[in-house]
Amino acid sequence: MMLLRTLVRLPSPGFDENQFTGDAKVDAFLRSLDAELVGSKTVRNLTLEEAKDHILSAKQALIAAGESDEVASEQAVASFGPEAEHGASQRQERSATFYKMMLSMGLPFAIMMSLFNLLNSGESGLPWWFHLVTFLLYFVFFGAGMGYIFTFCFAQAKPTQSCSTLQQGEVLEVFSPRLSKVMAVGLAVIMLVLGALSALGVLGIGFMAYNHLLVNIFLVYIAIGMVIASPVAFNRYLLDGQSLTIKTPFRSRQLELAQFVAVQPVTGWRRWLRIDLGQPHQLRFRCGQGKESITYLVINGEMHNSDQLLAVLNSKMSAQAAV
Amino acid sequence: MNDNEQILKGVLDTLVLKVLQRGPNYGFGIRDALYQQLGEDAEVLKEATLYPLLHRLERRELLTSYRQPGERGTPRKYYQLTAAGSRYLQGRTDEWTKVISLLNRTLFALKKEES
Repeated sequence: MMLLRTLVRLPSPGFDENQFTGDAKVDAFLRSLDAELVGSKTVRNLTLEEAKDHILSAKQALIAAGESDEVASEQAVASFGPEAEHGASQRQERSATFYKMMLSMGLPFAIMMSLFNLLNSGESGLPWWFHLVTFLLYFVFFGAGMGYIFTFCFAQAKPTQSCSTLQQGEVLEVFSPRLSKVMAVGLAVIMLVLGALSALGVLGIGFMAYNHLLVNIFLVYIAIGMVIASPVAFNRYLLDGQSLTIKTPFRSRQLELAQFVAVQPVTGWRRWLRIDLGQPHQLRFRCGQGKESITYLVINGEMHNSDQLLAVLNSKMSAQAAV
Repeated sequence: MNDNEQILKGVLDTLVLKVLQRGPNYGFGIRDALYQQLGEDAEVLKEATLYPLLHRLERRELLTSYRQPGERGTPRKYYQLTAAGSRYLQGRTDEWTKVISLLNRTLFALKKEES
């Protein structure tokens, strides 16, 4: 049971002491609430911060109404409700995320692998139930594995800021956390190896030569796409009131917000052709002599402040359209 | 849970959205605004009900949230109504208006006749 609890709270299963308030009653409640929660430290802290803010606001109101510090703490904690109830609600929310992830990642993977199996089995005529069983295995194991990682071990940065304004002089920085960078490097290495093996397979060399030619060509395409896409984890986007700076590992580019014409997510067939680790957005802007130019901004759920970046850009676009 | 509480719980999502129509607000602020409106019925609104409700509305994209330091300097999660949330609120308000109109023509009209 203890192991299971740790496994759904990786990589930092312990209570984050930064959450302490200095009020013994509130801190004891936060600690026991944390024990009821699942997910990485960042995910659990979202619930803890909200609870802490609520309890301290309630305490402040009670003190203002004439209660003593001790009584106010006690009543504020009591009125917030049992930690078990809040914990159960958070676990339910995370479970919904798990099933959503399982479906959205397991299903495409299972379909792709089943197509590969069908192509590779050729005329050997494997029975239909074999394909059905392998489809289910791919779906359940890959889907559950990825669902587990994204729900219980890996903190997607959302919900972060999504207000459509910036404070005076504020520079909004959009960046990926360290774990995303490590995963991106790992993915690039795996894809390089897979791509090289598949390319050899196309030439009839190595064990991938047993694959159908189409399977190997597709794998080379996917591998190249992923290797090209993976450095996005090292991108940094800086937004201030005047400009957006896009820093990739290969170049840095500053665009004036006044030049922007439109910010739109890439959809339809263009989206299907692109291999990206995130949602690509098309930025249309006017450069010298009023000519329109296009650049792409890839944003994913792991990036900190990505929601606010989009909210500010969209709000700017609406304001400019209104003018 | 009595019938009155059941009815109030059914209308709670609409009440929360209505509070947020006035502008972004945070958990305790929303609860405070609702407490003032609900008066003696406020007991139905428990924190363990409010937060899951806010999160559910956020997942349905009727609300969006952002974090900003509160007056204590610690992060505070603000909720704000989305365009979809405004449309949903309008729809729910229309439905409740129809219910009130129906009750006025039936139940309350009968009461008036009796008295």
